[in-house]
Amino acid sequence: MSLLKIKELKTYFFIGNQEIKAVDGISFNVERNETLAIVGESGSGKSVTALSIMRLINPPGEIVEGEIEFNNINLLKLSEKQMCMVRGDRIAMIYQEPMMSLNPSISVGDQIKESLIIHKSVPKNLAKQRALELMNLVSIPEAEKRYKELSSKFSGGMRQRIMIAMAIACNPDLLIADEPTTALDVTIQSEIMELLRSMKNKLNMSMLLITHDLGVVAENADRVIVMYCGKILEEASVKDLFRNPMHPYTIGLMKCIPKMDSAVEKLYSIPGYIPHPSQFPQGCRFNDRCENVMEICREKMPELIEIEEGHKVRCWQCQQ
Amino acid sequence: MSKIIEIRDLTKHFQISSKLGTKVDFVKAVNGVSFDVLEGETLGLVGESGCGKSTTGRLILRLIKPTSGDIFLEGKNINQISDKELRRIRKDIQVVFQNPYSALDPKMTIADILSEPLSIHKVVHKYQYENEVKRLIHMVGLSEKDLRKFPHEFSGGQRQRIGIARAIATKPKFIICDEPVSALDVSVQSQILNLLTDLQSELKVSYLFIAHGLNVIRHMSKRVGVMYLGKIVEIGDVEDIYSNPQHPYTKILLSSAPIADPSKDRDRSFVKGEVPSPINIPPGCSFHPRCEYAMEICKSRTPFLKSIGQEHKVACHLLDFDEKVRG
Repeated sequence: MSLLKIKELKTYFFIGNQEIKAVDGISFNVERNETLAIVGESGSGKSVTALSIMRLINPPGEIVEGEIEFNNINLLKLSEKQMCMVRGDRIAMIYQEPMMSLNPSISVGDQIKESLIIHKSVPKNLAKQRALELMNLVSIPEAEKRYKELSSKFSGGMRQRIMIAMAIACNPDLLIADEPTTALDVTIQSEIMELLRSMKNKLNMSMLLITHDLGVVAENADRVIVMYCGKILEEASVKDLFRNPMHPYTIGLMKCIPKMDSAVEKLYSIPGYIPHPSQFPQGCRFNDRCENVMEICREKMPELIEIEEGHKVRCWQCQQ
Repeated sequence: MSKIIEIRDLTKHFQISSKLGTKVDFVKAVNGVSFDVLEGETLGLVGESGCGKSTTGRLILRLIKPTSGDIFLEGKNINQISDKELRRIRKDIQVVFQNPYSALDPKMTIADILSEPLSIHKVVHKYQYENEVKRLIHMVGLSEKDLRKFPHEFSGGQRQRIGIARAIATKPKFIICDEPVSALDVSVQSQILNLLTDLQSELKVSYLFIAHGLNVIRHMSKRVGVMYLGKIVEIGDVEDIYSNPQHPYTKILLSSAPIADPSKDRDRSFVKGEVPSPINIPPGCSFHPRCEYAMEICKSRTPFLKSIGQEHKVACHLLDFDEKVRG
């Protein structure tokens, strides 16, 4: 039984008379206790997917179609008030920029205990106790002393730990981590990912990990979705994806990252640029950058088809 | 090969005052950095935020004045020269910035952006501007019709190409690339890295390549310097350092980088604590509070860079210790 089922989700932005198809008909599931990574470059729609699940899309954006079924409830049918009960309680989210997402004028301890008071009706004195436990759990040193401090007194890594403490406070079923380590240095990044992994296992959460970094994906995800221009191009278990990438875009992405252990004279590079969301090419959206482009690629969008067990690809060539 | 750039004991301390302006503190951004860059080579500079790698770049550009130390461009000390001379020398040292969105004037067309350095440094005669600008835009893989456009009409990768075209316009001998691909997507990143490599072999220019991405540094550089709190803790041939890191910090840094291969189990070492503030740099070896091998001597004596092999230098007391133990 999947925890989260997304069916044909479409989130569009209406700017002027332009229709920006940020997320354009994506379907996927998140199983219990699994980490699903969504990988993609800027403009691929990965963050908009996350915000759609949280129902945090504001005008000019709109979820125009689709279903988001979480624990067998369609989140898109809930009233805003009901959604508030889900948000922060059953589904929690951490963001890329911990400084932007923490309130600069409330002590970090109070921010952590807020969701406990709101969602779990924990009495205030107990909530403080629990918030301190959470701070210890995410390894913030001298929690007692730092409870009353403002977020500006903390370093980037520590702020992200606070965000994680807030997110796991109510023991959510699903944790959405949107580029959780992109703003951090690499030594801090590895610590934060380690913390997320251990919290996920301790609390039996599922995690939706959104990132552009294939290294982070390889080390943390169970399954992976590759997004490009609002569409899913490939979906596979992490082992299959790295062992046998099928979509030319995925193959290209993997080839164009410089390696740590072997030197090459010249890097592979995907020609061209990511198209602007108002100017997607007709047919397959990757067609003008693809080396194996065929006639049909320019005419019709291929479907996402399961080629091997659990390995889906949206490519005309792979379907032949 | 001759040396293009020599840096000797470069320091930069930024003065800051406390809220009431009474107590004066110093942010010790760069603390005695020395290195050379040879003709046509790329020296990588890697480190985490706040380690002083960008400040080092800005000091070499003389965008900021060093507190002490010397910078030699082809043997000439450019730290001591007049502003007029400095302006002339800027022709030889150019820079590519991290953020291509803010590094280009939004009100100038690409043709204007590219001809400005030509006119300031009188690279070619006025009537040749047009041809020269066309030549530059082709060199970075854009087309002539792009010259009439404004920066906002381009994507990040294209803007970075324009930034690079502007840097090579003055035919520099040395380009400082300050995180040139950090703001770009991976599929575009490799295009820009390849462009930089191609231009280097074509123009025989030297690069100081500043980045925090360890794989990018590895790809681009021949030699690499690892910085921590304003000091170089290890410097040497890139293959040497990546396969056989000696400084405890280098080891941790290299093991932290995520690798895009799920079949590899990583033996990852973590570092305790966080980077101390550059206002209160720990005495002795500045890494000692976080180092798992810290000894008594590390707390009081600053280790100096010592040669441990061909061109491989490390600043760590452990190496002396090892020598003594081995006798």
